Amino acid sequence: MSSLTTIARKDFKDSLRTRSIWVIAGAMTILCLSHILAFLSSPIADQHTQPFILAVAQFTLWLPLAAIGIGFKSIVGERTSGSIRILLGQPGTRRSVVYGTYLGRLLILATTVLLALAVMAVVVAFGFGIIGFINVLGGTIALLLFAFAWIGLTVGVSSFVASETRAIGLVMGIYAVVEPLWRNLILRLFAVVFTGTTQTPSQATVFYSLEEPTWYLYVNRLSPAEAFNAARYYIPDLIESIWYGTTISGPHAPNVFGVLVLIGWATIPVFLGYRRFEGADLG
Amino acid sequence: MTAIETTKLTKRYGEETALDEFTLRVERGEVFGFLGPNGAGKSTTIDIFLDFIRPTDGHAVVADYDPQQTPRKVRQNIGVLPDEYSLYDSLTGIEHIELAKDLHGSEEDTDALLSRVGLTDAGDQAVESYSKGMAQRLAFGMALVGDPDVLILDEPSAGIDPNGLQDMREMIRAEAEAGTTIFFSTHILEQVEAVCDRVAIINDGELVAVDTIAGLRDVFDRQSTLTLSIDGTPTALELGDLNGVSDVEYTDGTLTVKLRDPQLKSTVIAQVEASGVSVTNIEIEEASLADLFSQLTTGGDSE
Repeated sequence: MSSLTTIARKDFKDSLRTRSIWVIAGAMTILCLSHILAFLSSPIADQHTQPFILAVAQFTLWLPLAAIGIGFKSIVGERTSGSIRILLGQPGTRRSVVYGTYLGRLLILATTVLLALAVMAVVVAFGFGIIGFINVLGGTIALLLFAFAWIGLTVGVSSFVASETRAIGLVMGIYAVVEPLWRNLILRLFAVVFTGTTQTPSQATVFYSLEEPTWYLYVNRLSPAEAFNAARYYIPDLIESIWYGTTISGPHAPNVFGVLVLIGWATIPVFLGYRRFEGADLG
Repeated sequence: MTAIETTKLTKRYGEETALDEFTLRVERGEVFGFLGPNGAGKSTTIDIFLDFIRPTDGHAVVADYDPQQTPRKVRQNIGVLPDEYSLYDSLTGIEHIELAKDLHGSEEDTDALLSRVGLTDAGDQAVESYSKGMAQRLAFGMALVGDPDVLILDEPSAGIDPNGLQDMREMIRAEAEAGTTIFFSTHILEQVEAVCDRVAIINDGELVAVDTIAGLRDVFDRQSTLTLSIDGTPTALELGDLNGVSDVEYTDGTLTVKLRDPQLKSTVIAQVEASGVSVTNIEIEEASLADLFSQLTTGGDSE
């Protein structure tokens, strides 16, 4: 077994037994569930034709926070506690420490997300009476991509900095920029660059309309949350079009770009974090 | 095989020099003590050996490889008990040993390793419940995985009780007898005196001295004091003529001889007895390395 998979396995096993990780996973499940239960009790509940996708959407806000909670100490915590001195005293490289830990945390987050989603799926199936195999498959893939994006970013930040305070500060700063501040501040700044005004298209037309300006279709998907919101419709649609030979209702290019953005968030920060970690003094 | 060799190893942090052109060679099979006060540069040196930090200048060879060029080869050939480490609370002793085995690609018997460090009964407990001494044994057990050529122990006695200390000393001796090169750092003198073949003393980032304990005593010209209780008055005694005797004093049945060369003790006693008086009691006060150490590290009176 390579040192990378050994370290991934160690990290996964250690995380499985860490209580705080299960508290975070439980909180994420309850918060996402509370939204879907609220939808169920609303008078327009039976108008939802894709309730599973609606369930998947509830993770937009809470999954990043769970990923941050699960991942922000992953590397920097090994540095500050000194366990890295034990780990790197054994054969292995800094590369296998960063990527092995990344793999371990990615698996633990995927496990917690899939468990939460399974609970949601049961509620959806009984509450709405429909679930849809292709929506389950496509929605789960989109959700996992979103989870990988956030754990990649978080482990990347954790590898990049030398203190836990800086790790949580930096990753929460990024969360603020790409989630709560995205629509009302960041997108408007982009709008000024591309159109000269602060006007942005309304959120309702993110996926189905082709009326948005091209710049918007791409720039909006730079946020992992927006890329995910598009992907949770696009990926089931894509699977359906391949399965039944139907035509897809939205544009390919910006949505493929959105999927690539999620993969980018999942891989580039952890690569940059590794590069920084490789050059750092760990004494 | 080169056990450990450093060539003008230098580490600067901005203006501050943690290690200054540090050059040292440790032979294969030696038990080598690395002695210095806290903050002298011991951990900096060891951290470079493990590639936790990178030197500003100079280089090191550990177990035949340069740790900065090929850290993994070094880690494959050595065992490390680092300073200021922590273990994984949720994992058991067995899982820690297995982690080390997997990383080494080793097929050793986990139970045998645990029994070598006296943790046979605690192997299936999570490390959370371990005392500091048990954690130290486990970390030592992890260091032994892969049958290392060189064992690097950074302050191995830190935080453990006197019994644990004695056990640790015996485990180190057992490894030394098996031919493993042992490099261990400490700020506690008794430890080097007890187990080391040679000692390097580091202070303020610079190598102060490298020698055997006896050699260091010679170099720094410390004295042993021999106090003999005798019957009768010594006459015709010419102890002062012996090369290595620095002072002789006689008062009231007590003969006090100060020796520059500790090897002379038996000669002195023999001469006293040969002069016709009998010796009823012998007291020896050795120059301790503690004196040497404080002398060295405080800039002492020998310079």
